[in-house]
Amino acid sequence: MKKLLMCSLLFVGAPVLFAEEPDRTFGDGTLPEALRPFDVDGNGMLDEEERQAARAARDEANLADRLDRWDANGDGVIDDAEREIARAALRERIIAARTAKFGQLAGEDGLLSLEEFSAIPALATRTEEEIATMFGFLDRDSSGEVSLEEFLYRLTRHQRPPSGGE
Amino acid sequence: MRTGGRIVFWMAAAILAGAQPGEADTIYRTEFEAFTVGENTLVGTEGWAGNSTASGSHGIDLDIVPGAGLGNTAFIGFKPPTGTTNPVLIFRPVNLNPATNSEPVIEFESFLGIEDSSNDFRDDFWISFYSISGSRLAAIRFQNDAFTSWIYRSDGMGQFNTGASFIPGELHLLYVRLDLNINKWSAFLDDIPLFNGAPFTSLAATRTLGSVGVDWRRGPRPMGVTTWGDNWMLIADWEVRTVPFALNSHVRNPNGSFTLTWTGDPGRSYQVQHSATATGWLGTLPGSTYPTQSVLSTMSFTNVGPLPEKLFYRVVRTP
Repeated sequence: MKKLLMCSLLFVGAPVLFAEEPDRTFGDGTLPEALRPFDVDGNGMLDEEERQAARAARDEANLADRLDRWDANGDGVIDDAEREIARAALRERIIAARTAKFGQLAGEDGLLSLEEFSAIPALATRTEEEIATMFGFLDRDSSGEVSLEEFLYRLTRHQRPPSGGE
Repeated sequence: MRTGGRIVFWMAAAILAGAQPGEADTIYRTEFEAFTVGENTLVGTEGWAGNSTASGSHGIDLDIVPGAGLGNTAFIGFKPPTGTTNPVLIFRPVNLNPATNSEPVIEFESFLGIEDSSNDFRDDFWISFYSISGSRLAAIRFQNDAFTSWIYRSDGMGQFNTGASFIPGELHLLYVRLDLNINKWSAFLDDIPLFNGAPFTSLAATRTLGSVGVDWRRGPRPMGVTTWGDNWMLIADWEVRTVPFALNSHVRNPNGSFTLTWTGDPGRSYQVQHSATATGWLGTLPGSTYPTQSVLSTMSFTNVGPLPEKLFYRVVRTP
């Protein structure tokens, strides 16, 4: 994501000069799914204790846990059917969480404004420019408001069949 | 313990309290906290190397994922390299050779995510596994396309669609386990198998693990167009470790039986042996022989008894 930071330098008797300075942000302002289970207080962000817990859980996770998680029939192997179920379940869980989050943020009109987006707690430390950049990236039709479809776009764009190519 | 190409792990049922499952040996791990935040600061720190050192196409971010508390993370992409460089490479040497200094089974794990382009161009990001001599033995390719985001496996010669996709703007945990001796590997994204027991490399090169890295490769373009996308990959908590053969667990069950579990690697076979004295091992218990495995899996053996007061067990891995 590219942000155009318009920095103005004012000089007496000189025109306003604009410098283009790129910057980046990651994600859509919501906590990544991989870290969400550790958001114990549910405020949408990890404090230091929650982050340490996430690190510890990852260190303690072993391969058996990884294999067993989706091994529905308990045969020690994740077959193709179980793998498809796992993929679908993960994506559905993310979409459901994002949809619920969108409902909380957007309110009754079902459209997310920049003001509403700026209220996400995890963005509290972000500059107005950074927040505007993230919002602009979600607002694909540049209407000034983000619909649910736009909010979920990056989660669903994969759903075309494989193009083949080995 | 190595015995003529076979690896054995044994333990005594009578000393359960003192026996601990084997642990992986960390070869290199970083959370990038010791790196300087900014552009071009990844290559040149902690042994990281690369082929683009001044264009801003790699570096270190601070708290780039809102609310995640990740601190420092690394990036590759966003700003194009200078000149005709393609791909942009970053990699961290580990120099593991099963013939001299390493277990053959190696694990790699990292958080990663791809932030999409805001311009009309998109690229690929590869997690690449190189030999000590510098050959790219294998890779996992994340194809960031306008409408798809498929993940491919490369064996150094061909590419194979895993049928799985990543989510742009989402943080994923990639876990890879490879066996240099058997030439098989498996990979999981967020615990979902991308592939399991696939051939690692089709190259004839000596199978060592010289380094693990990331490639930023310009995607397909119309003739004459060399513009890069401003997409980029985030990486965090990067780790390479070797895995000695060991039991995962051993337990005497409430009904008096005894259960062993271990990780079965593809291309290897296993046998549980027992002995009353830790000498003169026998492989005669029912169901104690496990033929060559096709996929990475959790394996277990239960001796239902009746059991003597003391009995030693070992698991023999072949080859």
